[in-house]
Amino acid sequence: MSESLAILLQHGYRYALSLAYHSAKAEDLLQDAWVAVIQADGPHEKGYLFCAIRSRFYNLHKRELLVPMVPLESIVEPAHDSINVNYEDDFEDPRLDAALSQLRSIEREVLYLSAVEGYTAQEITTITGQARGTVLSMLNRTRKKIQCYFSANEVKVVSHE
Amino acid sequence: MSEHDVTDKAVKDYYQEKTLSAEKLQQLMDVAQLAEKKPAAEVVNWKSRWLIQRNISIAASLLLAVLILFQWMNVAPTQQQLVASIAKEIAINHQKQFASDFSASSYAGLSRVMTKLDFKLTDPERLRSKGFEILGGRYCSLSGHIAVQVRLKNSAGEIFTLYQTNSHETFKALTEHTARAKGIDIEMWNEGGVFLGIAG
Repeated sequence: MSESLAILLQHGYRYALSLAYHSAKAEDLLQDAWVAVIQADGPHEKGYLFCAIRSRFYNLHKRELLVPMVPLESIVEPAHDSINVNYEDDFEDPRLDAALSQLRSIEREVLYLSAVEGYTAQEITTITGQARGTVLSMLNRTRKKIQCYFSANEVKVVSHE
Repeated sequence: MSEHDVTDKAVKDYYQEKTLSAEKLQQLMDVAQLAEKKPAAEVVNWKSRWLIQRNISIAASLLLAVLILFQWMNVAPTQQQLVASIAKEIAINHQKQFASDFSASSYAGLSRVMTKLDFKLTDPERLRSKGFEILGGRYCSLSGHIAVQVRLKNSAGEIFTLYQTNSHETFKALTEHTARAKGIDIEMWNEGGVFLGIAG
């Protein structure tokens, strides 16, 4: 029971990460969604949890659009410089990390659902509410964007050498 | 392996490496365990509490509806209640036998001196044949509306009082009624946009 729960939460975290990109934001999203699932006595299922995460992410996103906010990490406080967190440091593959950071959240989400969770285009359509054709073309374009980023990055490295 | 597959694998590996910290994971699992440990009764209580609240809301709404209905019934009396109420008012006014404030021998004469009325005094058709003599008039009120009390005397020397007021919404429905209040016979009717009542 606890093992399956842990696996479910890890899946939820990765999905939240694909949406929010930042690990701290992903943790917050997961926590909010998880508490909501428990309070609603909802099923401990991936689909249900993903749905809760997704709705919270987009609600937050809408709110951020309405109320412009300055991210805490962008505020430099001289007295606490030593405790500033650089989220980008969390990621081990800087190239892929950088490529993912260039994508829109919907693109990262669709790519994650396809590449990591193994969902079909039809299933992704159900989760994201996008048309099947849109999902397929978005997947294709997102992969190409990553590949382009990789190629450009390689060229840059070679030219420096 | 196609380029797409390579990208997908890289993305998969990338995300597979990302894990929730042990501390956070434990924290979230504790939340779930705490919820599980709650006795089933509590869940039932939550649901029954909701049911109780819903039933209280329904009961309160019904009570409010009943109160409004009673209030409405009081505010909008039936025609019989209205007739009884006006008849009683006319009877009381008649019994007081107040002296007239304005002397005139015709309705037209009274109309000339009583200028504060919001209606035109009428010479009632149904009284014309009865040979009443007009003694005078004074302002009064009927159901809160300005009215005229006209003192009349018949050929036998008996005193009658006639009441006239604008035929407001209150009186429009009272086409023709007779009533007895405080031992006095009262007739009420509408004529030419004026509500009339005679007591004697």
